[in-house]
Amino acid sequence: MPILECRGLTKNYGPVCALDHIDLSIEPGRIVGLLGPNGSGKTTLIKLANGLLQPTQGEILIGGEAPAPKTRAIVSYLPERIALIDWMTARQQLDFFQDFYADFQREAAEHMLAQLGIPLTQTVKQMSKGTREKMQLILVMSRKSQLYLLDEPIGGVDPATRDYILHTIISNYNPEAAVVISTHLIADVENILDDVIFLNRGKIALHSSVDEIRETRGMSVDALFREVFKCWEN
Amino acid sequence: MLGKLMKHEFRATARLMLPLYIVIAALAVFTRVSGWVLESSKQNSGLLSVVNGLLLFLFVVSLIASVIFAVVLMVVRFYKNLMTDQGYLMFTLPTDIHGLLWSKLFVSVIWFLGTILVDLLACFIVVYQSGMALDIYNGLRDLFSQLTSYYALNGAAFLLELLLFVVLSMLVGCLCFYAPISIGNSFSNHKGLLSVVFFFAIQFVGKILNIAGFFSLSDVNLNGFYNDASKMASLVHGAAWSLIVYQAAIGAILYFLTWLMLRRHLNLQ
Amino acid sequence: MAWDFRDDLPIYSQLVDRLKRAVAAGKYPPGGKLPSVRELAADAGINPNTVQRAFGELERDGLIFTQRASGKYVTESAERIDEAKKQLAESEVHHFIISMRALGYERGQALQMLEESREGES
Repeated sequence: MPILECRGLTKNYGPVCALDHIDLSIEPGRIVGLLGPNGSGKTTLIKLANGLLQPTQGEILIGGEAPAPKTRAIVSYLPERIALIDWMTARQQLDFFQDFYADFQREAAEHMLAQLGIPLTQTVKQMSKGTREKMQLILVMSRKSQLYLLDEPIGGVDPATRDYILHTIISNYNPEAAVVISTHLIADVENILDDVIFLNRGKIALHSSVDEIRETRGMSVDALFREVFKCWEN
Repeated sequence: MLGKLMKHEFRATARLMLPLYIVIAALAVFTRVSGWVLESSKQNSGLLSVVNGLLLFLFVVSLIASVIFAVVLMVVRFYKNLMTDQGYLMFTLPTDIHGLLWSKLFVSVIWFLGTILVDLLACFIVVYQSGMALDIYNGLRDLFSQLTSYYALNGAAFLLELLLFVVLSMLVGCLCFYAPISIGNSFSNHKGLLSVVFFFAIQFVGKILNIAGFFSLSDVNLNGFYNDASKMASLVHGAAWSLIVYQAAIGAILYFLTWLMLRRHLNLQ
Repeated sequence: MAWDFRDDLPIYSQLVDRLKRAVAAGKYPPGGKLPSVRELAADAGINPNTVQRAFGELERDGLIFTQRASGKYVTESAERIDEAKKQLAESEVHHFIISMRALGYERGQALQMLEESREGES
């Protein structure tokens, strides 16, 4: 059964159509890139999967069910913004995640924090922006979930942090889980993706495996992206 | 899940409320001690009087401030935890919006009641004379028995009705802020401004309803009631329960509005 | 630091090539154990499914085999390894001739240049 499925999914914000009858299916064990320019509907799709938004039409299913507290327990979400509680120490953030998420693996998280030299007694407020991003990533990736939704995980961080983030995603790979990475920085993530979905102005422009694109078109996904989206601007 | 949310809510707010309580208690003790010092000093020291007066003044100010602080904390907490980036964390927890709302409502009411209790205790510390506790107890007991015998009013029931009304009013008070904040936040621009506008709009509608209710009730003929004690009692109970039901209805409407906004129009940036 | 890969070919086929060369060069000795899928993916900075696919192909070619619960191992067969070496070498020669031809050197001239070249001499 696909872990994420969209059937005729539509979302309008008043007169603006953010997603237009999206049909989509993602199986466990795949690392999928959700690629598109800003405003293409990537974040809307992810918010719908989390239940932060309600569809205008159609449906979105997580493991066969509509987004609900039950599905949120198996979905690990990395938002684009820093969603940490500023007065908490790293240890307290770990306590928080452990409290609310049954699939949280505390030892793994503590190990990663130690690896990065982030002291458990440091408060989120005291951390630099880069450290907060890493903290958030560690919390999200330390959950043994069935679906990981990462919204722009590498935008706005330095190259070393970028490497660390991609490395963490690979190391945490679980053949029973799917990872959806929404980004507009394609060249950096291409090597770790199984499949890609091109989203443009709320519609799916392409859904294919990376291997197929390279084999049949002899170009990288990054190059194809530039080509595909150039047409639409004319 | 609600338990966990409430636990977290307490942790987040206690770090501000408990220091406040400690300050109030400390001020109460200082004021009391300075009163003793003033009493026991032989000379007519002007300085001591001034210090004592100042402390007393500060103490009264702190009591008022504690209430304002509790209210402001409740509002800011709701906004910061649910409407800013922290909302991304809270709304994606494996819980529904009801859990998020009730945990905040319950904990806020508990802090309000706690603040009143702490303030009363602090006053007690400042003005306590020996035997006062006994006097108060006896006074309350007399009041109780008077209510029961003279007005055929069930004192205990009335007290419970009063408590229920107070708690409901506190819940409604919180929702009077939660609802406009949720509504204002559903817009893309001028969120803050719109929240304030909706706050006053809700207050306005509430006042209109109060006045309408008041005027419709003033037509009720009370003449037959004054002489008959049991009828009077049922009138009082009836009034109490009408108010309770009224508050509950207002609360339900505001709660529904808040829930609806957060469920369908959550506009986290 | 992730490995470099060309962006116009599937990564799995590039990985197959790399691993063949590593075996040919003796980096993974005959009968020797290969890194796990997870290790290799993390080192190379690529998707574990890709590594899995590359391993699959190498196994079909007979260059590696799976030992249950233990991992992947290089074949003990010296013949098979030599065969792989030969294929790689032929491919190199093929590319060399094509490159030289593109520069305007015919086979004979190319051979002569090889003879005269001092590289690789101890």
